[in-house]
Amino acid sequence: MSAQPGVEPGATVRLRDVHRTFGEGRSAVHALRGVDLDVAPGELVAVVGRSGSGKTTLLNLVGGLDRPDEGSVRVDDVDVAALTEDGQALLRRDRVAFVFQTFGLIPVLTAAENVGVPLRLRETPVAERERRVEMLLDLVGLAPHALQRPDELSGGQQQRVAIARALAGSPRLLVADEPTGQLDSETGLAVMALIRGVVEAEGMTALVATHDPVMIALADRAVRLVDGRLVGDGARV
Amino acid sequence: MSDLWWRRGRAQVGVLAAVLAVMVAGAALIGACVLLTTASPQRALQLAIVRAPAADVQVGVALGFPDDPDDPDVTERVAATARDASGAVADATALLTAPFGDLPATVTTWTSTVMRYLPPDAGPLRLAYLAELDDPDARGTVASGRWPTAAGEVALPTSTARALGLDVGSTTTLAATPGGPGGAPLTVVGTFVPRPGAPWQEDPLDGSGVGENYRGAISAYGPLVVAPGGAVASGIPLLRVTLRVQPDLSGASAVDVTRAGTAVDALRGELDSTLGDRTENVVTDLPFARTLDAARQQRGVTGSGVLAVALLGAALVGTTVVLAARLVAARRAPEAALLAARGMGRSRLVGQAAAEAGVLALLCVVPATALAVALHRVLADAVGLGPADLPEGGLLRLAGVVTAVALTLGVLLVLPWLRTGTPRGTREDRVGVVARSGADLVLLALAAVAFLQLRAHQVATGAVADPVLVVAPVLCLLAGAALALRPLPLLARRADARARTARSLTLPLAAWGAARRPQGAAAAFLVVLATACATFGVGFAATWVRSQGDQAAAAVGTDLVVPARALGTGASLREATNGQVSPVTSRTVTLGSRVQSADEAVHLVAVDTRHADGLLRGRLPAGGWAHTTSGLAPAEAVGGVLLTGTSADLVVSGHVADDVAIDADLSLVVQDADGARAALAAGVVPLDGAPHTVTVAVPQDARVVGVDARLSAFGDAADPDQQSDVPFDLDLTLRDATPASGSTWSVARARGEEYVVAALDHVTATTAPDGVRLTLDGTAYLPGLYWSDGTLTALAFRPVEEVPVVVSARLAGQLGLKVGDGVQLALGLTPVHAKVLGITAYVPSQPRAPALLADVDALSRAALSHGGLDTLTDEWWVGGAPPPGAARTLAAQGLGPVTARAAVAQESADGPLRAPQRAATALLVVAALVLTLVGTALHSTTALEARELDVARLSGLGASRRSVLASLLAEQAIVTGASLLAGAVLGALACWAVGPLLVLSPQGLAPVPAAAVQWPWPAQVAMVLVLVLGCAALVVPLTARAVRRATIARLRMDPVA
Repeated sequence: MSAQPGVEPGATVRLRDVHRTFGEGRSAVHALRGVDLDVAPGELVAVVGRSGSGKTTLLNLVGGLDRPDEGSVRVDDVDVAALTEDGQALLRRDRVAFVFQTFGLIPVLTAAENVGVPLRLRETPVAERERRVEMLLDLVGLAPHALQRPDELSGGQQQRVAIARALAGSPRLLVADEPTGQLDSETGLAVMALIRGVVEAEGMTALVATHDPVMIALADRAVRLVDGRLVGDGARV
Repeated sequence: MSDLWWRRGRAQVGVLAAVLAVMVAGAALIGACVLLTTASPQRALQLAIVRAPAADVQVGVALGFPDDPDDPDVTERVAATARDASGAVADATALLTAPFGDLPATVTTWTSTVMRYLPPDAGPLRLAYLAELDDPDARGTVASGRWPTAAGEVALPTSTARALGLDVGSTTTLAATPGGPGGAPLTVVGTFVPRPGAPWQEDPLDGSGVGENYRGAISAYGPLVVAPGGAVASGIPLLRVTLRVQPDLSGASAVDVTRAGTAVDALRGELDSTLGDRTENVVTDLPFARTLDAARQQRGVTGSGVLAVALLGAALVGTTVVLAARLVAARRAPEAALLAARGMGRSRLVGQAAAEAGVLALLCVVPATALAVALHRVLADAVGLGPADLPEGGLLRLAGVVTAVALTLGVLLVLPWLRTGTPRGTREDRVGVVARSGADLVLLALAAVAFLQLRAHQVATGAVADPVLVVAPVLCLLAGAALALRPLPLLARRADARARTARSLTLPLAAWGAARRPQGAAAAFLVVLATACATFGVGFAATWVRSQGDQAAAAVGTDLVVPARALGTGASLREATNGQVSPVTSRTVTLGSRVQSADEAVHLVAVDTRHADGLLRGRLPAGGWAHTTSGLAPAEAVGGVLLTGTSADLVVSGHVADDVAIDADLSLVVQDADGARAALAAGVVPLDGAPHTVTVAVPQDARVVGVDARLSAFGDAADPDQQSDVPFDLDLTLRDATPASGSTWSVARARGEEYVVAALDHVTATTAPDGVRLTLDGTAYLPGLYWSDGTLTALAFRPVEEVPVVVSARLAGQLGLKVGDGVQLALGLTPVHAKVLGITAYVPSQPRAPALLADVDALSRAALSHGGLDTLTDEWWVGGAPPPGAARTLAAQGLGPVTARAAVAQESADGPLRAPQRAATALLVVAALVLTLVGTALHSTTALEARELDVARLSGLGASRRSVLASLLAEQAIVTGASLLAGAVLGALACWAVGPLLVLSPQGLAPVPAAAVQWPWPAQVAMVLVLVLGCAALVVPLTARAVRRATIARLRMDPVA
């Protein structure tokens, strides 16, 4: 099944006939079954679907954390599936940033240090790194908590740190997997608004897996996954 | 729930097997230590007793009787026994042999009678005694004739025969009173030469045959050896009966030795009660008991070391099991969280863990017991205690100990489940920090107290172990390990601080991990403690062995000690050893008016100090023996008359004015090629103007350095015509002799200051056509010479008035002696003035005694200068590098028992009684190495499994696997490497500070000289390398595995922070 046949060639994300199966034989789980998807630059797309529908698999393939069994995954016109392991790491370091449902913060690092991790991976000069970390923490409203470690922050604060960290490397694509899944509705809304805001402010593309109607409402469009297939026409759902 | 347990157990069989293996190894380690403190000492004691020299495992008793059994004060029973001691001897024999049960034993009996008077023959009073020995061939070599076989027959020492003018076929009698009626005639049927050494310890004259000053003034001769039964048959009352039982312990078991020890301990009382009323005194001599006591003392010292190792091993094992418990708890954490979420209480979780730990503990009992037995067997074989059989009931006791240890380790497995909160691995809570600091402080204070106690500890106490020796090293190492962990976080924090300014992530991430993950404390403690134990163990073992060698050297004083006194012995020694040979004076002396006590007797050692460095052994705090003894030897060489061949042929003639009848009992003071001197009796010559030919046997290359004449005048002391001073002269022509260069003859000071009855005025030595002629001119003072002998001595050197000595620091401390002080020595009846030339840490061969060290030549000259003719040669020392079999060769020549420094050192270091300590030290080193690796593996597994999520997170952020792997390895290297380094430093510090204090003498005393720290670099470096490479071999694959496993799927299991 195809979707968005009319997207122009300069799409940031382009998936064509992507299949991904886990396991073999009768116990095989077909996570994705021939998914086609294009995400235009600057677009915020929500991926909607029930648990087990293949949302996370889709995001992992886009972020180079996994490889498709069939089909192609291109990000900024780069064939992600063809990249080596190091190439995929470079892709995540330079172009794609993740925000995880469980925040993914390193527990022994402070908020500022967590935000600085992508910059350290790029070996950004120290002064520039510190400036950017300060700016990003300020952006997410956590400047006063810069020296606190994750277990000293609330869930919302941790997710905001995770978002700040994702933005630190100025990625072209932000991939967020249920970023509000662990948050209460009020905090989730704030986080959603933050994502929406930074996407617009930084001019980046975003692919967000979510159940959250608010997030869906904030997205430019939403696609629905059902049993590993995209359904609908890709318009707002 | 049991189904869940079973399935969980199957799923986690690997980790449970690892935990079980750690518990088995730990319990086996403690079990092996227990066997080293129980079974091994018994075996070691058995071996030590079995291998001890025969003289050290004898038991004996001397039954003393009164000089006059007819004295009314003597009980009838004692008097009867003095005339026939057969009943008492039978009872004593039964008592002495009883402790050895069925073991073969040889009983030897020495019976000597009271002194009786020899026929006066117009001369001074002379005493002699009979002796009956049942092993004559063991005590002497027949020189002529044979041993007596019938009543009335006697055999004499050759020296006695010569002095009494008796030979085979001669007869004599012994009388109860001077000039009284003699008993049955005694016919000389043989003469013999006494064997040197111990066989003559029961003899009143020590086998010398002649005692010139027996009980003050009268000469005594003997023994006159009679046939078995001859002493009683002679009718002369017995003075002493000595019995010795020599057990053959070659087939003795540990039980036999223990039983014999117990019985011998009670022997003294039994002998007293059985024989006390039949004798005047009962003197027991129990070398067996002394040897056993010494062995028990050594066992106590050794036991302390083994127990210390056991405690350190327990600490290591406990820490390793704690790490294993953490691994299990970490693996079970999700399950525990789930169960807790479903309502299971903490107590039930703890109960489950306790049940599982109990099962593991019980499962480990049998294999751990078997492993402990095997370990003990291997160690015992390795250190020479094999075959190591367990004592009766030993296996059961061992199993009990292993069970207790296993259950204790099981308790440790439950500890992680008792924690009230799951550590998040971030900041340490303040309560924990304070508690840990408090515990560290307490441990540090205890260690400080233990160290001070150890430093003040002079003598090991306790039959099994000395508490201070056990606890002090353990506390010091534990406190040191706890303390050594303190700087590690500080260093990590510095690295953390530096990481903030770094651009990259790899090393900063490692620094952050090292600085901010406190769960590594237990692992770091284990690595620090184990490395410290291993390096300390290796260093201490080397220090201990070196100290035993030093102590042996100081105790022996040289390389070989030969208990021979005879002139010419040096030639045999040189031929057998090719070493530096010296006659040695080694005896207790009276120092001024100082009161002597048995423990604090002042010992005089005099050696040839001209070759001190080649001769003397024993490490000094500074300088060598040549430096220490510099200035002790006389500057002038001794002159004298050089003899040729092995006899001195003399022609003696003397003249006395007024025809006063004077006899001269002549002795030649002969010096052999090695400087040993002895006065050799030349016989009695009347000064009647006629030449008398005398021959004296001398060693090869000997010289005469003195002539002694004991004058006796005969006549009517009441005759007024014979009460004037009478000049006399005495000419001695030594045939075929030549004067030595630089010979200066002089007169010794008269012996005894109170009453001079004869004096020597001039001594001249001239070369005669047939040799050298010595002329002694003097004056006899009558009538004094009628009443007592006059002694005159001519010397071939200037009289020595003062002997320079070096005194031991102990003696100097006791008497407050300083350099330049003078002290008065008494060599028997001869006073010698000594001057303190220096103070030394100790005197060779007398490391603990208050002692003086002198030059044997200077001492001999000083004694001769005061008329002291007694030989000063108590033993011979040989320095150099004697060939390995030299001691046996010399013993075979009848010069034994030879004491060899190398043998003493080997016995001290490698003897069976020290073997358990060697085994325990080796066990500690191996256990430390193994447990370090096991602990590192357990900790790394736990830590890296916990890090897999972080690795996945970092991968998600774009970190390459390579950089994450490098970061993790760097973190492990920081933590493990710093711990290894800290442990090695701690081990070195302990080796320097504690090691020397733990080294003791075999008697449990502080070593003399003080132990010198040894740090065998090759062994230490090799061991640390093994640890580093071993840890790397474990950590690198574990880290690579963790990185490989840290896929993105892990993020789905990421608990929300």
